[in-house]
Order: sequence, then structure tokens, then C-alpha cells
Amino acid sequence: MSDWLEHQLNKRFEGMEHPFDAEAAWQQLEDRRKKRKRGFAWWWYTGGALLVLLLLGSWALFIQLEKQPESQLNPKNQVITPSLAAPVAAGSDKQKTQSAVFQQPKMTNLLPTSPQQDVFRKRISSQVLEPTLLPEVHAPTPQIIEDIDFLPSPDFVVESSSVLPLLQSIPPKALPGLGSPHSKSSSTPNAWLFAGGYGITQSTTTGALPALASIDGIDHWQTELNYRYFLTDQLWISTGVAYRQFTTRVNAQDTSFRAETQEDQLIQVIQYPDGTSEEIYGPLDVMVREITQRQHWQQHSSLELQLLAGYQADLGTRWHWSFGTGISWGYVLSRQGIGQNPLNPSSWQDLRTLSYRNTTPFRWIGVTDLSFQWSETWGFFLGVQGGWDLSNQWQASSPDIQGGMDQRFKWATGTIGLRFHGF
Amino acid sequence: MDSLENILTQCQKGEAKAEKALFLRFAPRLFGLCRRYSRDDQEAQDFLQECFLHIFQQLKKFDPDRGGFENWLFRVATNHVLGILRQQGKAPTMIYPENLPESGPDIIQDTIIDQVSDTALLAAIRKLPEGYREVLNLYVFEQWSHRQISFHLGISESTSRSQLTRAKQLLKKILLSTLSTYTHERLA
Repeated sequence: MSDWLEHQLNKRFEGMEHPFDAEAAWQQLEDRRKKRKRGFAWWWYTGGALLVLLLLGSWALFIQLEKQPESQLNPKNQVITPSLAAPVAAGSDKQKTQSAVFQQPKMTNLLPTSPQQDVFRKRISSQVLEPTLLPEVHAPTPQIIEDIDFLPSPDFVVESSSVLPLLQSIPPKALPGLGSPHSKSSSTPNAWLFAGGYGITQSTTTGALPALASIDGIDHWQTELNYRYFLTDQLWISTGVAYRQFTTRVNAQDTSFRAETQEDQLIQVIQYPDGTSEEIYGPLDVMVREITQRQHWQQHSSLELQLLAGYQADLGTRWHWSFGTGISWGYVLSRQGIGQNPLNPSSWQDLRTLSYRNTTPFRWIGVTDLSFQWSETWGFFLGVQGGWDLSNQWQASSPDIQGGMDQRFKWATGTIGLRFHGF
Repeated sequence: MDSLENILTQCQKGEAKAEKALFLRFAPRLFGLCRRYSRDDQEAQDFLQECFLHIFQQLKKFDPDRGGFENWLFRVATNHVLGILRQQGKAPTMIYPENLPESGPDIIQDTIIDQVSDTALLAAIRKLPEGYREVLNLYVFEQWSHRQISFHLGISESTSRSQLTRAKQLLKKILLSTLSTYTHERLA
């Protein structure tokens, strides 16, 4: 402290105790703490209840699928129709013929052992046919295999009379019965999505004085892991975490004030009880505002929780187009400094770590992606994400924000990733 | 339970009685700090409660080898109050032209503060714009340097200095106005 006034002020308030009802204040604090604990508990219980419901729902669905008769299982992509599963003796010659095609002696032992193929194998092995039927094989009924995209032509199977090598040559991904990996009638509807991407950030300043600062986006990296759960064949919800890192350039104006004395200025107006007034003139100390242009960099790292919902359209057997929207909320650490290279924070001078803060209230996110199912368990996808930080817009609507600098971040990122099915 | 060390040990274990003892011991002084940053006593009470809730959470991080408890306590409380103000959007880092107070007389003697009561002085501090009040509080009462203030408030050091100068001038003007109102009331 450099002057007498500061010393005096400090002296007047130093160690000063303000009498107040401490017991009542403590009681209020206890009440506030209890209320807050109840609030936390509510969120935990609600979250826990939702999780339990989700698990129970998944379990019930799983049990239901397990208990379904084979003849009703997977109706969309049925390989063998109920009529084929009936005893051979009750069927027609045509049915016997079709069953016989799949009743090759060593075939079931050579098939790979995915769940779908187990079902397939079980059904085949349940057919008991006389070997003597084999020579009588003729062309099967076409509609029986209409959904089997990857099997060779039945005509070819019959005429070549060498089904086993052909079945062995079929790669696992092409085995029938899988259908769309996202279909609820399939056994692998849900997916983990792992993605990374690069994009752009834009920011606009709004609020009281947008001219005082502007912010340019420099880069934006992100990586994320999401779990996408299909409620129906097309509708999905997903949750996951995302790590984003983006750099911005702040073009700011520092405001400072310089004292300047002006003579003969109105200092004070004194109102007298009789209604008259007196104006007092004299030298007036006027503060002159000085503006200094400043530019610095800020790097923000955020870890966010994402909740999304959307729709998926099937573009054929392997291609899918998804789009959805949701919210993202988390914590961000910001650093700022000045340097030649904005993309290299280690070179920044005057580096400051700004406080952690949450991205309250949240960002709106929009996502869309095109995915390709490479096999029954995984695939690729290309996506685009866009986000809009709503937090500062809310601040701008506050009456207390006067004089604050409002920022609104918008970003768009191209992503590429892997998609794992069957969870 | 009476010694501060015992109270702190028990508080770190989450003992409610110890927390109450800690509250009763330091609340009056912390209330003074909160009053200087708030606009009225109700807001000061809110600040005080939020500060203590935060302090109880942070108490495990207190390391007696790194300094006294009181210093730590007031430091944490100050930071928390600043954080609350920032969350509420009440901590502008710049003063804009439309918010500038009217300029005052050129020379007002510093000794004017000797002519007013503590209550009037506190009321005058509370009338300062948020930015001025924060810088004045941090520099004069918390005895932070301009470098520390600029770091925590995200402003330049020159801005911190100019806001302090301006805050003191405005404070004196407010005190003068208080005195002249008082004088007129007496005359009437």
C-alpha cells in the first residue's frame, strides 16, 4: 500500500468483527447443506434408477429373445421357414428337398461359431432326413431363400451337389441371418462408436459492448466414445464422453484511465430548504479513457458428457445414415498467453491458467454420420458434428451482465471413427 | 475441542460439532469480509454460508506446514467470493463508458474518512461499482499485489492500478456527498 488513505482504510477494518446472530447463521447453513445433499441424492437416485431400468429392459429383451421359438426367431431374415422346420414326414417333396440341401453330413461342424450361426446350425441339425433323399433333389422354392443375399444360388447348390465346400468358402461376415446390425430383430443392434476429428471454431461476441473484443477460432480437435442404443429399428439414444481441445485468438481492448484536470467545471449543486439552489464551479478531475489494443491466445481443453438422440436410416444392407441432436456438458480448463505461434502453448509468454469452469448450461450438438458395416461386429463411419455453446447467451440475458464480455462459441468438426456392434 | 488444531482435526473427519465450533469462531470476521464484497447484508450472509460450505469441503487440503490457518481461510474465502461474483456475472473486468461514474471534485482530503463512521464507510464502499470495489478490497484489505489481482481477475496490471485510483477518488466523493447530506439534514 502506497498512501495514507489505503493505510487508514485497512486500519479501520482490520480484524473487525461484525456482530451478528452466529447461531441463526449456523442453522441456516445447516439447512442449506441438507437441502443441497437432498438435491445431490435426488440426482444420484434418479440416475441410478434410470440405469437400473435400462439394465432391466436390456435383460428382459435378451430373455425374450432367448425364449422365442426358433420358428419365430429372426422373422425378417429367416433362413428356414417354419414349414421347413416341420418334420420331414409331414412335408411335401419340395420341402424335403430344400431341407436336404442343408443337411450335408459334416457341414455343421465346420461352420464358425457366432450366435447367429449357432441358430443356423441348430436348425439344420434338427432336421432328420433320409440320406436316400439326396439324389432326388430338385430346384427349391425360390421364396425360401429370398433373404439370403450371400448364399450361392440354390440351383447351383443342387446341380453341383457340392454344398459343403461352398458353405465353407463363405466368409463369416456374409453368413445369412445377420441382416442389419441395427435392426431390433437382429441380435446385435447396439454399438460403441469411437471417433476423432478436426474442425473449426467460431465465436461471436454479443452483449453490452461487442466492439471491445472479438474471438477467432484457430483449431479444434476432438475425440469421443459413445454408446448408441437402439430403441427401435431406427430410433436411437446415445451417451458418451468427448474430449475437445480448441485454440482461439482474442482481439481485446484494454481500458485504462488517466486523470486530467479541467477548470471551471460544475462540481456540486446544493439544494437549500427554501427551494433555491446553488451551483459550485471549480477545477474538475476528469478521467480520460484510454484504449490499448491487445491480442492473445487461449487454449481450452474440455471433458464433456454427451447425451444424444436420433434417427438412423438404412441405405441397403451395409450402409446407414444417422442424424441426431442432444446436449453436451462438462468442464473446461483454459490457458492464455501471448506468443508467435498460437498453436504451441509451450512457447507462449505470460502463460496463465484460467480457472476450471463448467460449460454451463450446456452446448447444443448436432451430429450426422454415414457408416459402413464392414462385418457383423464392426464398421467405419464418417461424420460431421456441430456445436453451439449456449452458456454465454444465457449470461447475456442476465441483468447483471452489464460490462461483461459475452462469448458464444460455435464449432463444426469432421470426424472419422470405428463402430463396434453387438453389445 | 477448544484448540484450533483439535477443531481442525475433527472437522477434517467431518464432525458436525467441530464444524460448528469453527464457524462460530471465524464467522464474525469472515462476515466482515463478505460485507465488503456484497451489496447488502443478506447477500453477505449468502456469501458467508457459501464460503463455509466450500471451506468444509476444502479443509482436507489445508497443510499447516505451508502457512497459518487464518491466512488460508481468508484466502480461500476471498477466492470463493470472487468465484461467486464471477458466476453471477457481477465481476466485470473492464469499466465501460456508460458505466463511468460522474467525476468528482479535484481535491478531497484523504482525512475525510476520519469524519465518517465505520458504517458509513462500509456503505460508501458498497456503493462503488463492482469492478472498483473488487480491486479496492483485494488491494487494500486483502493486500494482494496488482500482479495477483490482474491474474485472478483477468485484467492487465495497468487496469488494476487505474481502477484502484479511480475507486479511491470515487470513494472520497461518496463520503463527501454523505457528509454534505448529513449537514443539510442537520440544517433543515
